[in-house]
Amino acid sequence: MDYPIFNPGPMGPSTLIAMMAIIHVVIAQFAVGAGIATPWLESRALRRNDTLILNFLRRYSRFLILLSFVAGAVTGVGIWFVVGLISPETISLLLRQFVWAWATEWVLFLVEIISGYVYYFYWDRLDAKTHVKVGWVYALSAWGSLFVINGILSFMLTPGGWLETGSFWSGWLNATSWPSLVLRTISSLALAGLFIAVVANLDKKLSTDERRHIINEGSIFLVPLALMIPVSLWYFAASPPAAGRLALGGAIAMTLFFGFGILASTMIGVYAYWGLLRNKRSVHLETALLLTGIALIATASMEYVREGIRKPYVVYQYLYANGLTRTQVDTMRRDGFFAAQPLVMHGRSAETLTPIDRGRAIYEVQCLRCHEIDGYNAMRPLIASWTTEMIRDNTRQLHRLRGYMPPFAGNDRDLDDLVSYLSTLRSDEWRQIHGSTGEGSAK
Amino acid sequence: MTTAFDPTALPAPPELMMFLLWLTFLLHFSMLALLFAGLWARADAEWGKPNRYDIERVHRASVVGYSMTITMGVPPLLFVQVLYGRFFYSSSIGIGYPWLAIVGYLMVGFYALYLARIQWDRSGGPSLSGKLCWGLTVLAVLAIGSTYSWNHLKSLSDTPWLQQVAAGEVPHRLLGYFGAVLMTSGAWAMWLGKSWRTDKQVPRGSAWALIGGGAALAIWAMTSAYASCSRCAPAQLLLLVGGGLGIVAGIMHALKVSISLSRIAASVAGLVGLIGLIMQRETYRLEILAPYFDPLTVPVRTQWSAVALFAFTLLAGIATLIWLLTRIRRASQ
Repeated sequence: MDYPIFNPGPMGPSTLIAMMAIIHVVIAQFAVGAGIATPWLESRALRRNDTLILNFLRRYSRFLILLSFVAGAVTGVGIWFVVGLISPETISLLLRQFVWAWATEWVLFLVEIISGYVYYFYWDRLDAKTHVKVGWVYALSAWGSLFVINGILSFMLTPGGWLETGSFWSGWLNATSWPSLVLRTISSLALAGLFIAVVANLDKKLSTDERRHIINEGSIFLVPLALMIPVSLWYFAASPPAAGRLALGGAIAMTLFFGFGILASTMIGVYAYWGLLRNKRSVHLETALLLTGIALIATASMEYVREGIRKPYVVYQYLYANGLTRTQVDTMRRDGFFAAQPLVMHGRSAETLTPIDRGRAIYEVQCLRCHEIDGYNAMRPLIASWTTEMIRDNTRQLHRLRGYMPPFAGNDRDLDDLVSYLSTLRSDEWRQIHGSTGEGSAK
Repeated sequence: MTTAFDPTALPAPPELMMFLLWLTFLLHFSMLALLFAGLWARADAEWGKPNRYDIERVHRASVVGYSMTITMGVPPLLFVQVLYGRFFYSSSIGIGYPWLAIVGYLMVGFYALYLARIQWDRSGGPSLSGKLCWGLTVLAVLAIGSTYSWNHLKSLSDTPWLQQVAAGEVPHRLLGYFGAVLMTSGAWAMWLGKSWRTDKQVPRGSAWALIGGGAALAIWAMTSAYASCSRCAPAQLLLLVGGGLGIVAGIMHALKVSISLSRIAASVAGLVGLIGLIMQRETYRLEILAPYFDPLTVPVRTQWSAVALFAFTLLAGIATLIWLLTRIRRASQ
């Protein structure tokens, strides 16, 4: 609305955000889980004088540093970049409302990075007790960082009292922040456990028995996955009812993703308990990679569900997915879309444009973030067989027909303009069959 | 449901946000200077006399410098978005994919740096592949600097990027940053350099970094368009003083004057130069945007309890870092 429009091309904005977000979530959660796993295993190994585990942990912490300290940080900033291009209203709101939470998170991240480097580079030079303490400093700051960011992310689904008061605390410590924190902590520990299996298998100097011992030790972190179902139920109980309905049958794609995520996680957890922890079995590199791949897809699925159940909002009850607030939509329905002087007009008067050009401007602001013309969630095939009247009716009733769509923001003339533009997207073949206005009957 | 508050209000007095923006920018550039020091020391080791460097230490400084540059780069980006959001997002959108490419450059730069170290270990010294990896990191850093400059200039002017490049504005602007950071890298090398070299000498390169960086900074201060900015005079003065002091510190080191004295002069030069650069950047931005927008006059709704949370975490973080430093110190002894 107040910004230029970025069109990322056929892959669509959502895919771009998802790509960056999923990579970041996996790396960041691994950093948290590995942060907890490493000092925990180190203390245990020191008590048992288990040099095999101690030597392994040193290699594992190098892997942690290489993967998370740069790729994790960069993809985190990358999410700001992507969302800043695609939905500047959202990122602007989140940064302004929670700038002190972001700043707090940064302090924790700084401590995390520095303690991580000290932990790795001073492995031989610090006494064992201090070294473990440094490891716990790392763990605490990494988990603290997750705690802070989790509050901001869950705010988008359950802003709660913030809607009336604008209170930082009621926004940040919201209804879903606690179950979400537990879910993310479980997921983080699981990623740490899986990467222990991968790193142990990549070390060719280890014998089969040594590898098995390391993997068995690490498998304890996979077991909490078995709690995914009850914690997810807690999460949905705290979510707005409409959001829960979308995941639990209301939108089939979301239900499938949710089902896959929850079942895959639970099964890995149960397998870790029976197979690895109780029966002391091992996994080969291929199996470890397969399990990690499944866990990554499960994480991605759950992130998709988390993003999806907010629809049609990005900040529930406040900001729609197209970047318009509820107040803006009400005003536009009353005064017309162009009365708000959207930036896409570049100062031009709406009266100087043709209806099709006005419709294109409306499309760019209200539809393009989720619907490319061709490509991601494409508009052209969606309306390929619709008559002009169907386009008009569906657009007018969008939010009633599909609960995850925002309402059309404009008056009757704006609706006509958008319909004019959308009608141009239908193919020549279609026009030959239905007539140029789309009102004719099929021959 | 409508909100009873203004969600676009600043969550703290703009002066505080501006102070934090300046402070964190300073930290960001200081860490970039550490990376620069590691990069030119590595170049010295690759192309100079072999086995004169303890490459493990140089590498550690570069890796820590790289990741700390990124970490310290986050808060200025946060405060810039909060203070200048509309301009920042609009210019980012105007650039599009090349702006996103920074994420890729950052990763390529870091992992190439890591590979450069592995190449050194494998070949037991300089190698073509090590040089290529080093070159890739340098290219990545250059690409990041250019893209940031592109965004910054775009948020202040309608002039197309290529036109700005053709007019020499972008390389000219980078000259100032390059100068200040190179000069500060000389100071870093004076503090750390003895442990980098197997002969326990501070690298000669620190003298050249100080002289070259100081000269570049002084040239920038005298020739940039910012010189005509009415509010920028104190910043220009700092740049000239910083640049001049950097040249003096470099000459002192080249003439083998007391290392302690040269080191203090180099550190002050780096600090003054960087502060001048940051001050110049912000005062110029405020002057250019003044007809349209003044971040110091927007509505404010201070979240004092959230500020307290941040302040508490910051103090706890600083205490933890001090504890870590004492452990490192004890371990090193």
